[in-house]
Amino acid sequence: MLRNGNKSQGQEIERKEFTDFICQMRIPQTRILGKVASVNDSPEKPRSKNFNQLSKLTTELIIPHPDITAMQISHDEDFMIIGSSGIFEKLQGIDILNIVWQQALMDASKPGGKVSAANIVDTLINLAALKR
Amino acid sequence: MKHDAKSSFTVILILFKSFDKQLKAYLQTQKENQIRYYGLLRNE
Repeated sequence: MLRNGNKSQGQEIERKEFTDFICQMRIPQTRILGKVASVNDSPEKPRSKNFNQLSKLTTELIIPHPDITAMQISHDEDFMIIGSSGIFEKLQGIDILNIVWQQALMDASKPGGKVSAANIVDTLINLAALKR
Repeated sequence: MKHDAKSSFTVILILFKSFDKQLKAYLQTQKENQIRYYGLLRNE
């Protein structure tokens, strides 16, 4: 969860430094959020050099507290898709909509007519991965 | 160190109750279109 906006050159350099550090440390991104929160919440606790470096690099770049939005599901909404950047960088909203319905219709037209959400997800990932 | 900026592909799909209803409506439309199409072919 990188902070958006204020994309100054200085921040871009920091971001690259941060990404390099994460790659060197081989820390999964989801664990970084917890580590940052724990480092920031207890600054008095002695930390290793790597923790201190991570904390310094992430102070301005990572937000450990997610944005939460609540919404009422209406009768007009048929499904919801939550996806990582790879999906939404490669496919537009209208493409995703078409793929979901096309795959569902294909599944429903087969003998047995059972729609599989897993099939739809597989198709979405395959098409996104193949798209350049 | 060079880092690989590969895209990640993760999808969570949640189907709501109205999905089935809408799917049935699409299937019905698809069926009707096919009947219309083959009917036109036969007439020609």
